[in-house]
Amino acid sequence: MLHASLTNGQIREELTGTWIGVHTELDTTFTCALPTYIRLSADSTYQLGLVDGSAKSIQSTWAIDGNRVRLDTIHFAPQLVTVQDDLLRIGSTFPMVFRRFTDVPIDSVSTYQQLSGRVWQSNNLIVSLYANGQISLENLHTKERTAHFWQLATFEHSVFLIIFGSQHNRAGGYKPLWQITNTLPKQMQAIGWNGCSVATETFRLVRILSPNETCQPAAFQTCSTCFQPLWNTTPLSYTSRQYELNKLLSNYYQPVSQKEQSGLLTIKFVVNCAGQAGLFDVKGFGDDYCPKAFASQLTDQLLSICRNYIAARSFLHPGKESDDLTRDTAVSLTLRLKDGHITDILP
Amino acid sequence: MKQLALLCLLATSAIAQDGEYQLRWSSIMLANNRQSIGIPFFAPGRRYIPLDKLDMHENSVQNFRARVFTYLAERNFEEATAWMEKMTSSYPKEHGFIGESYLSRLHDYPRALQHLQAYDALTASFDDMIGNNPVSYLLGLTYRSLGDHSKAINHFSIGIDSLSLKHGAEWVNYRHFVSRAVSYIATGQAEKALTDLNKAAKNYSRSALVAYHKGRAFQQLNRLAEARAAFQDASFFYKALRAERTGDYQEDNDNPVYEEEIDEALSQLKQSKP
Repeated sequence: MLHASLTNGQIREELTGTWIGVHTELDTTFTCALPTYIRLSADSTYQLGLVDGSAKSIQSTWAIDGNRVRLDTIHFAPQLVTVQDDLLRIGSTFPMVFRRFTDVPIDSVSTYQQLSGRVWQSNNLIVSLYANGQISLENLHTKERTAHFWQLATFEHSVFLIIFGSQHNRAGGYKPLWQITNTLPKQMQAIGWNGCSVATETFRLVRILSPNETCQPAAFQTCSTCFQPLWNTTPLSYTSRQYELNKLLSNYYQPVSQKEQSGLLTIKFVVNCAGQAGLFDVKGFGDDYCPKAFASQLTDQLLSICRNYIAARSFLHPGKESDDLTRDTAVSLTLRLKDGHITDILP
Repeated sequence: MKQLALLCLLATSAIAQDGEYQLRWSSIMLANNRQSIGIPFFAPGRRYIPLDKLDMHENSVQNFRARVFTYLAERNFEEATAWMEKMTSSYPKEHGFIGESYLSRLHDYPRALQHLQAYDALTASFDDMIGNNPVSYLLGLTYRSLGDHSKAINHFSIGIDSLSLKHGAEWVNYRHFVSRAVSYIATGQAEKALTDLNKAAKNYSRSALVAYHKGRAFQQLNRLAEARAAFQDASFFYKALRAERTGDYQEDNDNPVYEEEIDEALSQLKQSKP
């Protein structure tokens, strides 16, 4: 940890080196992978670039001035750039985590041949690397399986497995980087974020993929690799969407006239960049705001209106701009019900 | 095979755009992290204030409000309303904020009424403000939503009339005139509604909202040519405003008007004879 007792020289020595992006902590339970690296050279050169080299790196200088670190033109407040256990942590609001890079020379061509067309498994992850450039990642505990694209990138003399995009396209951001450190016919090792910590994980060969196998996600998948519903909610209230919504509900909802069907009902779902709807979530509250389950006759009907009409409306679908390629939209709809009749749509 | 491997390594151009975006994003995040900043309400997990702890030292009005906003944004209505109720026992003046939240965020009119009345009772002879509106106006909106238009008109009039008398009608928020006019129309008093709407139009002459309700008042009086002209004005103002503003815009969230509604009103009038 960098603190006051260290001299500037010691701090400088600790920071000098190349740091590989792990992730940015956007919330305590929500992180987004960082595909960037930071190089802090002893000659005060600063470099911010992408590990896969897909963008021109930013070159500048860095310095330590008293208890402040300067990277390029950014002067960090004291204690906001810290090193602990070979992890560089920058910031406290949305901390960015980097790991110290150690170059492990490895042959990229033989690594590619070794990995491609095979399924590999670590303690918590199954990685299927298809020869067509697609990849599926399956979490062994949650059984969640997502589809992306993969490629190998050389960085100094090392080889990184770069995972990016979604089942639909190559845009949409990156998954955590893996630095391949060792390959054997039936085993490979890689350094990366395993979901809990930065570690060297051993992946053993499970099987060889047959050429007919296709890469599919297990369920609904967002196009963005860094999707947080609350930040990507399309507001429905007070816009022309609200008018359309009022019409859809009055046309398709058949009131379930039952006395106890009163309170608030919230339906949340996500429409991905390909127009598929998923991640449906229904929560009910009584008139006293205590959680309550509404009759399935009522919730099923509203869910099907959401799935068949609201999710299919053009206002939730992306346009043709390049930004829209990866745009996923979250919808949150709260209705006030009185004896099974919709009395209000909440903003 | 070697060629294929090389191709795979070189195929970075396909995501070049994404790479540049990521690089830009990283450098922006580095700059954002140069100092500790307050956590926005939509990132509850990284918050300073423990959301679920009731500690009097930490429970300033701001902390209470932050919790309410966070839980409302998360649609956790159980926690949101529990904190709203707790808040008023520590800070009685917050009955106003809570009443407004029940009214506009939760559309729970009986509870809104209870809190707004409690707020109003704190100063018996004074029409206190809640945000941009006097409590009488919010009480009017609550009664209107409960279907009691005559009580709504009484309450709208408290704020409107005292301000008009003291400083002149041009000092009254035009939306307040619109709200009273809506209740006048609902109770078949279109003439009174028109008087209010004309005053509203003086305070904001390019309002689609005012023109639309004028159209409705004229329609009620069977003055269909004037109704059509008013709806046409509304349609024009709506389109002009949409061109000026980026993103979604609604003149008054308490009296929302949609372009489609104006078009429908116009097409209905076309079918009937003037």
